[in-house]
Formats: sequence, C-alpha cells, structure tokens
Amino acid sequence: MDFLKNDKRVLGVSRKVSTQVFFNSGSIDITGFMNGIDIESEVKFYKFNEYVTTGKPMDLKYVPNSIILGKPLAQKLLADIGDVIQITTPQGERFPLKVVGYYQSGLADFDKTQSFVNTSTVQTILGKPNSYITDIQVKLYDIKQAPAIAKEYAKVFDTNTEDIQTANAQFETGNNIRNIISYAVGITLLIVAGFGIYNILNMMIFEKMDTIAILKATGFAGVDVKRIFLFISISIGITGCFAGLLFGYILSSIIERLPFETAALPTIKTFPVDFNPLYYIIAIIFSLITTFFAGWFPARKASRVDPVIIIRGK
Amino acid sequence: MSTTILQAKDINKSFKDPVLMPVLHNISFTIEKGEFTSIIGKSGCGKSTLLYILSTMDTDYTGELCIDEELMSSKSEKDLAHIRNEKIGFVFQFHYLLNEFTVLRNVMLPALRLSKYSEAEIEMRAMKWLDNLGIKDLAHKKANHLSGGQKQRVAIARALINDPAIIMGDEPTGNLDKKNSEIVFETFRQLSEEFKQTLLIVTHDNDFAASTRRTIEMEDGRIIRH
Ligand SMILES: Nc1ncnc2c1ncn2[C@@H]1O[C@H](COP(=O)(O)OP(=O)(O)OP(=O)(O)O)[C@@H](O)[C@H]1O
Ligand SMILES: [Mg+2]
Repeated sequence: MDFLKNDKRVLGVSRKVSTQVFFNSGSIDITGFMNGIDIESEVKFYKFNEYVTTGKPMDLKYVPNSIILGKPLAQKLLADIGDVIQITTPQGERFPLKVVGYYQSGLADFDKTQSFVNTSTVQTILGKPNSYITDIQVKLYDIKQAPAIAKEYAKVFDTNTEDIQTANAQFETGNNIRNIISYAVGITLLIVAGFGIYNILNMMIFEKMDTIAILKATGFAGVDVKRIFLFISISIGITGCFAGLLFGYILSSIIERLPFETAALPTIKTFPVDFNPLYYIIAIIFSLITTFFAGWFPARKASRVDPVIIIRGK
Repeated sequence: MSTTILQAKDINKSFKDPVLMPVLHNISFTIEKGEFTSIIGKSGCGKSTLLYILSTMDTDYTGELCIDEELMSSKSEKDLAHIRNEKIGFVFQFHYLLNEFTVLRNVMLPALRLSKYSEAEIEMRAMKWLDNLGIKDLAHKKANHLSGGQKQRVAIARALINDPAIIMGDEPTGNLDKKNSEIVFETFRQLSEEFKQTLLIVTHDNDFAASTRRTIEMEDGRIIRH
C-alpha cells in the first residue's frame, strides 16, 4: 500500500474488499455483490458521490453497518432509505444492514447486483482481519501510462492487474471512431469552404483585371497586389471564422439545454456538451490555414497579371 | 542648363505572332526636362508599343532605356514598379479610374503607395491638383459617376500627384469628343507652361501635335522625324 502511495506516477490508491452475498427479500434471495470501499478515497479519486443519487455517501463511514444499494436492486428489495435489510454471506451467516443511499452508475445490469459498504463492515461480516483486501484501485496522473504500469505492478507484486484501457476497450474504440468521423466531417467542410473562397477570389480577380492593371501601371508591384488579395481572403476567413464560432457556440448552448435522458447515464439530464476552448482554438487555426491557402493561389495569379495586355486589350 | 529625363538608345522589339514580327527598329531619342513632346504616326506603326516600353511596363525589348539618368534594363519588377510610382505619370486612352473609390482617393492612391508624405498631406496635395485642373468640386464623387472628360482630368491629376519626372499619355483624348479633347489639351499646355512639366503624348490629332514644342513622327516602327 505504502509502496503504491509513494510511487510518483500515482495520484491515489483505494482499497476494496468484494464478496458475493445474498440479499434476502421475504422468502426469495437475490444474488449480488458487496463491495467494501474506502469511502473517502473513492469520493476523492473516483467521484463516487456523483453516482449516489439519493442519500449521503459519507454515511457509509459514520453510520455503523450501513449499506448503499444499486437503485434497481433496492427497488427489487422494496428497501427505502432508513430500512434495514438482511444479507447472507456465502458461509451462511446472516447480517442486518441499514440502507443509507441509492447508487446509480447508469449500467442497469451492474446496478442490479451491486451494493457498497465500508471496508471494515465486509471484513467483519466475512470474519477476516482488517488487512484482508481483494482489489486495489490505483489512479495515475497520466492515464496513458496505465498499461505499462499495470504490467510492472503485476511483476513486482506477483498478482493480477488490469489497466483501464483494457477494461474499457470497447468504450475506447467507440470513442475513437466517433472522433475520426467528426474530424473527417470537419476537414471536408473546411475543404469545401476553402474552394468557395478560392472561387470567389478567382471571380473577383477576373472582374478586377482593370483595377489590377491600373494599380500596376501607377506603381504597385506584384507583391503589393498579392498582399491586397491575400488580405481580402484572410478578412473573409477571419470574419467567417468568428461568425462560425459564435454561431457554433450559440448552437451548442441551445443543444446543451435540450433534455437528454437515458437510463444509461442517470447523472445527465441534458445533452452533454464539451465547451473546451481547445476545440475553438483548433477551429480558428484550421479555418485560417484554409483561407490562407484558398487565397494564396488566386493572389499569386493576380500578382502576375501583365498590365500591358489588359491596357492594350481595351 | 537642361537635364535629360528620358533617353532611348537602339530600342528594338518584335512580337512572335506566330512568326517573329519586328515592330520597333532602332528607336533612339532623348527628352529633356520641361519638354512637351508629341508622338504621331499611322495606326499600327508602334506608338503604343514604344510607350509601354518607355513607361517600364513592357520589359521584353533590346536596347537601352534611361529614365532620370538611371538604366532601366536589368532592374527587377519591384524596382520598376517603384520607378513608375515615383517618376512616371501615365494617362491612358480609356480613363482607367478605380470605380470603387472616390475621385480624391483615386488621385491619392499612387502617393499613398509612395508614402513620402502623411495621408493628410497627400490629401491636401491631391486637392491642390484637382483645384488646378478645375475639378475640385468633384473630389468626393464616386469615380464612375463622372463624364469622360472629367475622368480624364482626374487621371491627369493622379498622374501628377507624385511630382513625376515625366507624364506619358497614350492617345489621352482618343475617346473624347472635340470639346473635351480641347479641355484636356489645354490642361497639358497649362502643365507645360505653368509647371514646366515634362510631357510625352501619343496622339492622332495633328493640330494638337503641331502646337507642341516638339513632334516625333513614326512610320513602320522607325522614327522618321524628330
Ligand atoms: N501582343 C501583340 N502580339 C502581336 N502583335 C502585336 C501585339 N501588340 C501589338 N502588335 C502589333 O504591333 C504593331 C504596333 O502596334 P501598336 O499598338 O504599337 O500601334 P499604334 O501605333 O499604337 O497604333 P494605334 O494608333 O492604332 O494605337 C501592330 O502592327 C500590332 O498589330
Ligand atoms: Mg496605340
């Protein structure tokens, strides 16, 4: 335990004692799991309190022999807050526990079977000493190091370890695919917009041939003409960029207020929107790069217009 | 004592269209400061071609061209643009103003590029020239709301804004009626007499040519009289 706590890569450690139990409801027994947790570190490192939809999580520590039930499990047991329920250990011993809260992770199957108690409660029920632990959860500063550190600890402690990436592999792939799709759509839109600006400027140069010829005849060099057209395209880019950001922000603010309720995510009542400024910065950078290139080629063309041909052609 | 503003030496030019077609043959002449010169000749004899070369816009020729005693060949596009800006005022046959700007802005534009003076000073100088040419009250009109004669006088004001060493014109009255042509010619004469401005004007108007101090006559790409 201390070894883990002293590892510089580790943010926090929490101990866990899990066991299978039967919840007694009248004449029937429901099979489930009881997790003995260190409530303080669970709240601190894993936001346990966010999943407790009713009741106070810290009661696990302050109320002796208390339990937090998965909400669907509690409904099955007809257990309200404050009720006392009976559980039976695999060894056949019965124990009364007081319900102090409901837990809802959003994964219905998980919630149907899980319950949480203080570590010492499980140890007492099982008749084990308070050094008895079944799991240790380690939270790292850098999540990306998890697979490597998991392997390292497996060797050092000669035990089973599992990193978060493996545990959540499916979730990660889904996430990656979603990201790829949204970036692909974004880049496609930028390219389309870029061609739009390119076309506008090309048309503009065609229309303004006379103007370019006069500018050159009166002493503007090719680079000056190029600068003027680049300036126009960057202006279009900046205006469009900020209009787009503002519009996007307003739209996402509206979406954020739309109700979005699903049993899978009980803590979320409206559409989840990430307003990370990084996304806005990425948008600014990419749109300016696009307009710069969309403007560059027409501007170069304008700078090469031969005034003699235009003036003679009149 | 007179100084040479423009000196052309053995200028030759050919077009490839599609065979090599010589247009200018050994053109040599000089223009002194304060001279008012006209160029005449039949259509197609190469007057415009010569003027584009003299104004540094066309660089595809052989021979030597000196403006203000500086050799033009072997200068970069950027340097030539600067020389046009500073030393040459050009008046075209078609009025060639920037329609999106006001008259005043059109006149100011070459000076803003040169940026020898502050914007306020440039505006003052532009107004002064518009006043001298009798079109001061047009200053804040949009360029495309003017008549042909007015536009051409604005173009002359624009050519004058940087106190150029020489003003060149390619048939500046070619597109104007008799009355407006008279006004433009009168403006040139006034510039020559009052301001000792050096002028080189291509024209078809023989009366006008006769009234200038010096006339260069061209035929088939050669100077036959000057
Ligand atoms: N881009 C070009 N390609 C091929 N030939 C050309 C080109 N420009 C002009 N020419 C030819 O060069 C000759 C001289 O033309 P230029 O325009 O200088 O005549 P000009 O004296 O100004 O005639 P005008 O009085 O009608 O204006 C003409 O025979 C013309 O056909
Ligand atoms: Mg001509």
